[in-house]
Amino acid sequence: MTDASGAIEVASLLIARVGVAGFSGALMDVMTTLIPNTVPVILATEAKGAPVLLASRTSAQERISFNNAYMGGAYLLGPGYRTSQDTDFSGVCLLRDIFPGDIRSSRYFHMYWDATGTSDEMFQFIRLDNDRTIYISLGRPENAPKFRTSDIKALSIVEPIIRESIRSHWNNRAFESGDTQALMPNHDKFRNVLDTFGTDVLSRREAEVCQLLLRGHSSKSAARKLEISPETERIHRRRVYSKLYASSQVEVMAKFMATLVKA
Amino acid sequence: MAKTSVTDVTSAITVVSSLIEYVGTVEFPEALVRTMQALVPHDSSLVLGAAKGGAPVMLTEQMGKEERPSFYGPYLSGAYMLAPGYRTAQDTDFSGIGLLRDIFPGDMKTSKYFYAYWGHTGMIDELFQFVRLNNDRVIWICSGRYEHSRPFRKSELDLIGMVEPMIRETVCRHWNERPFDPDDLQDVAPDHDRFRQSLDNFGAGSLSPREHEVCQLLLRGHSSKSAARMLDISPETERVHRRRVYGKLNVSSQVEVMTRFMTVLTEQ
Repeated sequence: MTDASGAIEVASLLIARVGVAGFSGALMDVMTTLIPNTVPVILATEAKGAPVLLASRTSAQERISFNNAYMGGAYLLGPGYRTSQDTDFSGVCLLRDIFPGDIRSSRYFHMYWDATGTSDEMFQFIRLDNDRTIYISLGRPENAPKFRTSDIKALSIVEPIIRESIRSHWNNRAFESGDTQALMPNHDKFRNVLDTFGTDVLSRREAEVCQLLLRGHSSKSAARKLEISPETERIHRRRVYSKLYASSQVEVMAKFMATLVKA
Repeated sequence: MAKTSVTDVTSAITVVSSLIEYVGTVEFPEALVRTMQALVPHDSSLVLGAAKGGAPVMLTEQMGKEERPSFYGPYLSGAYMLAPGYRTAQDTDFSGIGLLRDIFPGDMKTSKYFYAYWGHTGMIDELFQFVRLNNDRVIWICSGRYEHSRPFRKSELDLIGMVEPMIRETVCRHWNERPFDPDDLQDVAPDHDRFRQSLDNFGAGSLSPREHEVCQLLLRGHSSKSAARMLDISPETERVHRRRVYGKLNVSSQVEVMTRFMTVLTEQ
């Protein structure tokens, strides 16, 4: 949907549901009407808290993988969760805008984040009062085309309507998940596993590099973060791989997931 | 009149979106007027509500000091019964944006005389948005421009037309579950039932049923052409009835019929 007045008409319907039961459902209707052929997932976090799944339209099968993989700790490395925690970005963006590494590797990462075959992902981040954040993920199914500029424009034009409706609805409301399985009793343990991952064998610099590569950074972007040259980063990276008995970034991630499960 | 205004859809959406947070608060009516002002600058703002067949309730206003006495005077003393905003709210189910010329049923030259009776003497153009609520209630937002300003431009109408659904849904969300709450009982017309009766019965003693119908329409501002269309008769036939109405009421023009009606209201 690229016609502005059509998009405004659709998004305005959300205003009617502010403060009313069924708001999340209306929100997903609006999102999928604006950006068809997507699977919406609405997540929320308190400051430094675990994600709370507010609503989603994933299939039963996808829901199981989502609960096992994403809610099983992979969210800690997910670009959506990381952007909600590490930045104050508010608005609409594509996965390639917030994924810190080579976007080609994001497909492998997806397998670990949510165990789905999502081919592309669009996000809207909404900042509430008191350091709370809502982030909406719109995933394109495996065989569907990637998002185009016109898709992001359609959502961007009505972004203020969606943002202000969500703020009005949730600012004075607790996050309630319809699914208790989707709550994160182990969040503090997960955070601890992430913070200390590999620290028994890695040097301090290597541990820093390891943290960045777990989050998907390429050598170039990790080097920029650490203010070192990409060549130096690659030297650290190779040491990380060898000390962790891994041969690639994706394998480091798999190791981390295995550690989470055992923890 | 505010000089700055938004000129593109993106800014218009941002402006109206900031109204959403006021839904359900006492500041909502004022925030609504501020929003309209930012979208299309104007000199006089008025938000009115009415139940089906009921009196208009003033929800908020921000009008010039010359206009205010006539609003609280003649308008609320019964002239609203003939005003195009109130009539459109009551007689149609129109929802959306319209200029005075879109909702005034007669010749625009006549509307100048009418304005004089409503007390909007200096008003040169007026923009209305009608919002239909649940339970047959309606809100209309009036944005008026005075003589020293210019009429509304097409680009301004197009812009507000784009965000009309946002305003509509926000207003509905605020007032659907809320009674119309005037600050002051003066802001509603307590004699509404009497006004209605005076209007319904005006001239009934001397006019035939057909003449009475014609009289009702010309009180509401209809030209011969538009009254004829309403009654499914030819404009020539309408003019015959109209002349008899004038003769029986001892007047020589449509505006005089209106004056007569206002006198009847005041005398009671």
